[in-house]
Amino acid sequence: MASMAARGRGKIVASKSLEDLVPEAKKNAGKVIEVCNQVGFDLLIYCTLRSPEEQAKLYRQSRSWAEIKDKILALKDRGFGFIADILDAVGPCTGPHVTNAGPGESWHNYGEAWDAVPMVNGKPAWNYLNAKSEWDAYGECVRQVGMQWAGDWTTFREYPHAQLRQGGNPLKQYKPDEIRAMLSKRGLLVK
Amino acid sequence: MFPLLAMLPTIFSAVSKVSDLFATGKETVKKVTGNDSVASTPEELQQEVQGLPPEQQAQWAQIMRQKVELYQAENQRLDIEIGKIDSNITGKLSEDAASKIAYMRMTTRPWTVKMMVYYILFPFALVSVDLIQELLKNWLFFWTDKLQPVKTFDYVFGSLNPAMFKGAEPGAFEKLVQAFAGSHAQMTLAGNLYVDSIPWVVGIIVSYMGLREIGKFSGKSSDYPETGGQAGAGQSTANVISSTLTAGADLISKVRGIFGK
Repeated sequence: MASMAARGRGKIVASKSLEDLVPEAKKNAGKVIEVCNQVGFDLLIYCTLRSPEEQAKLYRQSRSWAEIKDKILALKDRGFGFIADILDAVGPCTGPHVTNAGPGESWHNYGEAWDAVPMVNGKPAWNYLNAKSEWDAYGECVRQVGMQWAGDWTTFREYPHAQLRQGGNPLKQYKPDEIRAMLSKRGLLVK
Repeated sequence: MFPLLAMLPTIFSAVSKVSDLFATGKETVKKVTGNDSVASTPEELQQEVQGLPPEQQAQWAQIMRQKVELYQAENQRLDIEIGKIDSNITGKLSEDAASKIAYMRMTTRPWTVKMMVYYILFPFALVSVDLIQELLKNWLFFWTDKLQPVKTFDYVFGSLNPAMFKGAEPGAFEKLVQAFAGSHAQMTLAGNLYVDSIPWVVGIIVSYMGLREIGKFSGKSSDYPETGGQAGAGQSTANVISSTLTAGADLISKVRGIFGK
């Protein structure tokens, strides 16, 4: 967790290091990689921790100030003022639309999720239909270690994504105090 | 930005063919511009998007590209998993998996057929709407002026009523009843239109189902571009799908074997 603690405000590059995952997720990630190797393909974990600041920056790019202001007000109304402050503090950002999740709304922000892609013939097989066997085997590994595979989701399947807990949005599942405690414990909330 | 703009024709082509993507396109316009889209046809949507500044067009294209890709991937998956699977394949699956596929086959229909099924069920919805407008009229009888729009429902779906023809030419009411209701004088105008349309609607649904079965029967391995390269052109449809399914099952069973140790 040392490198997680080092990821304070200001770091904006999403991590792909297993060290940045919480211990349980890190252990599971190791096991999933190992089993994928055993059944005949490599697994590339390309995203683990994405700090709330980085999530805020990704969220702000492509959105108007009016949308951001609404989001900030909505977060404050629900008692997530400390998350709203992060969204406010990162300032204006530009770039393409890449996410629907605001800061704190993805399990990546807590180090409890990763995104991975199977490697087929030395190349990442991004298309599920071109490497269905490998993707399904990866999903089965994730299930077997007791985690949630987003390829099983019915509304919006996200084959690379795996997370420790159920549910897509932590802010809808946990109270503000619990969220604050989770982020603080992992050194992701500097306040 | 330019590669994204270059994708616009492809996206517009997809949007014009799939109503869900059209709806998503309108939502995306709102997301990008902050204003509701006023387009009511794919062509209007195309004009609306092309009238946006290049940055917003690129944003729209970026979001829609993902939606179109997702749609294509889902449909390819459904094509393999549902549309062209026959007893050769379901026979190799577990009871649970076969039931799931049977359920998906029952619930996966193109938009048109889905809408037609709703259409057939329309009278049941109509009863609820009729009840609501009757309640409004009876509860708010003192608010006559404001209730006029609600009463228009009666003119379309209600029984033809001589009171509606006050001041009209004598015999106009009887002529209208004859024109629309014929010998079924007790029937409403909407009721007649509905009854007359049912054979067409049912015909289309049945034709679709028939064509779907024929399509399943005559499917070729070249219909599956995602497996054609791996499986080879000589393989039959059943073999292609079977090998695709069983290849996945092999790896999964290996995974389960490892975890089961």
